[in-house]
Amino acid sequence: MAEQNGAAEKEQISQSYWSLVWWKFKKSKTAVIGGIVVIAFYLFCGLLAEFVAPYTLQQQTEYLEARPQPIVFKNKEGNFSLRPAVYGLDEEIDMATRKRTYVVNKENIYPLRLFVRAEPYKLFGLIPMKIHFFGVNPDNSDAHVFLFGTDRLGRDIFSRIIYGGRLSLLVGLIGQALTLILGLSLGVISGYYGGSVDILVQRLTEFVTAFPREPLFMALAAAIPPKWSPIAVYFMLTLILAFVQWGGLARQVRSLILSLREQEYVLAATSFGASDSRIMFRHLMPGTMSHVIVILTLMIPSMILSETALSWLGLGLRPPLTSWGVLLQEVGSVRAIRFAPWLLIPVPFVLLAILSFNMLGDGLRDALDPYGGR
Amino acid sequence: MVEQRSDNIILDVRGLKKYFPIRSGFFRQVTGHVKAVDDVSFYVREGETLGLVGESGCGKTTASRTVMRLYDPTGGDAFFKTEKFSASGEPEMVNLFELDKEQMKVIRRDISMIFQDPVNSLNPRMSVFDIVAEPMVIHGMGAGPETEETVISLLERVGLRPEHIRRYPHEFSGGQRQRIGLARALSLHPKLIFCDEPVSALDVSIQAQTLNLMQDLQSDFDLAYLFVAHDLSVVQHISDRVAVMYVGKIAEMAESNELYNNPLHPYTEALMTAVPKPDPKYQSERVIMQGDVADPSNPPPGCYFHPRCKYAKDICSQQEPEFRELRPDHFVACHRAEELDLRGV
Repeated sequence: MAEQNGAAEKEQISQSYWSLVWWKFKKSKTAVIGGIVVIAFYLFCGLLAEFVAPYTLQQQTEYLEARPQPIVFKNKEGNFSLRPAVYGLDEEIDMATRKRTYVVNKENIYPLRLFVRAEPYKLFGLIPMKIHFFGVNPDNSDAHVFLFGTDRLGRDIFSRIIYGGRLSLLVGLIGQALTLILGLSLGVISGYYGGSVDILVQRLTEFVTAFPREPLFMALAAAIPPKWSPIAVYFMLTLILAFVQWGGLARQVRSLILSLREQEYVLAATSFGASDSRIMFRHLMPGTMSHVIVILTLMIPSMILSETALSWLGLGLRPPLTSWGVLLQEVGSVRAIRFAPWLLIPVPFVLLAILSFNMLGDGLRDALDPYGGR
Repeated sequence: MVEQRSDNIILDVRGLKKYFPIRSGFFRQVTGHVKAVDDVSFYVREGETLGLVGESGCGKTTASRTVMRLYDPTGGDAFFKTEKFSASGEPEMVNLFELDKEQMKVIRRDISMIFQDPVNSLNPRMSVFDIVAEPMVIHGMGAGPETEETVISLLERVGLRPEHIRRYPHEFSGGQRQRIGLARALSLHPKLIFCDEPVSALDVSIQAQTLNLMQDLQSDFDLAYLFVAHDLSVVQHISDRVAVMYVGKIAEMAESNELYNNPLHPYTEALMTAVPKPDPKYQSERVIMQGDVADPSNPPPGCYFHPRCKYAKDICSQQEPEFRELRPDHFVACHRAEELDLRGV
């Protein structure tokens, strides 16, 4: 203990605001877990989807609506083995329902391998690669692994969830970036200048926020021309989501600025001749950042949910673009739920993403006020 | 208008007025004015300290901030001696209220401010270096490695250590923060510093240190101070001259000892008898004032002090007293200043 103190004195460590925030954030377990899960989502779904998924997005197999294959720890002889494996599936026609089903064939066992060479892809859209994180022996053309089953076209649902997460999660990020630009700048300007500028901006935000949210989404999304390319539709949808969201942020930023601009340090800067923009961006905006980060983090889930809901309704993204909402579109019928309930597996992923964002946001909210409650 | 004074006056404020509108009703129409500063005149000489005292809410702070153009003045003039705009290079008196924003920015190098609250007057998100260097950056003088040297020498001058430069305000005590504020105020080598109750938020032992530091700095840098305070012993300690404010007006202004020993205004007398003496045997003969401070939005007619003044006569409630120079350098606004014999400290 004495040594530590001595070291601290020698180095004269200075705790900046953000290092205090980090120090406090680390103490909250739920927040750290939430943060790790969020980072993992963006890493595995966003950046490395091609690598993580054993199949590519549109790769079709001959197994249509195959049930999920459970992972077993057995070898060919049926004895315990540390290497996980999956059983092969055999096609059968159910004579009563006239439906194709798959039954587990314990004769065929496919051990799972790490870093297998399979379908080629381009990592980050640039680096051509063949290695997937896991898979089954690529030399055996019968071997297959469908952790979460397949859909009507025989596409691996696990892979599609990984890919779908990319667009669903990116909606949150891009949308929040737009929200941030609109909400923060309008909020700061409104709060700092006050008077007629303030009245104008406030009436505008009220106008936007007064709309009932879901019908507005639907109307705007329905207005997207069907001829547009899927990418254009995607960005338009993000824009719409951001457009509906920024009002809340602008109002919160404005009220923060209203209290911050009365601080004496703002007066001090003015007395030294600081320009309006210097005061707004150097003195006022950093003071709102902690709140803004929390607001943005807690607003991402509602964006993801909105995208999912719109896509599920068929008003948002459309195939071949794949998001969690698009995946869930397939379970829009009783038939699907009755015969292929594994199509619902994207739901826990949506829940997990939302939950971890909320955990992260709550932790950030506590941590970003490092001077209070220490 | 009073003759321009010739004797090395750096700031000459004449008839300063600052009214804040009172708005009420649905359409927020102006229904009255708070006369925070109402026809105030004072001057500060080069290298001297003018103390500005008065009760809370009497307009001391508003007066200094209005001169600094942090508030828009309602009326009056503030002449500041500067050579910045003269063709000959000789210093001349410039009316601050007639300058545009860019010209005023030039003047802001010569006048800086120290604030009351050591917590709020430093941006918590900025390091000491950023805070002290900010005025230099604003005026385009803060580029290059020599800025850091300048900041370090300023910090050392106000009694802080060089390694403090990377720290943040919350790591300092109140007294240290006020020193940071001082270093910031000195960074542009001003001629005049407005000190807005710089020690009232500090505890007494720190107050003395800070005041002594301010006096040292004053003689080193040849600074003039406008020292706003409500603590009479602090003001007596640091001021060469003192102006007493009451409800937006200056009641009396004189050289410090003169004012403390021979007050001419009944309000000054009442204040002076309220100064505590460190003598347990001393029997206070306080002049206890009746009633409350006048409402600056609805002041009484005549002399604002007359409802509380024990010497008040009819004229006091009818005519507003003129602020006049009764003795050399001793100004007072009282009808009966000549006749009264008032006690000092």
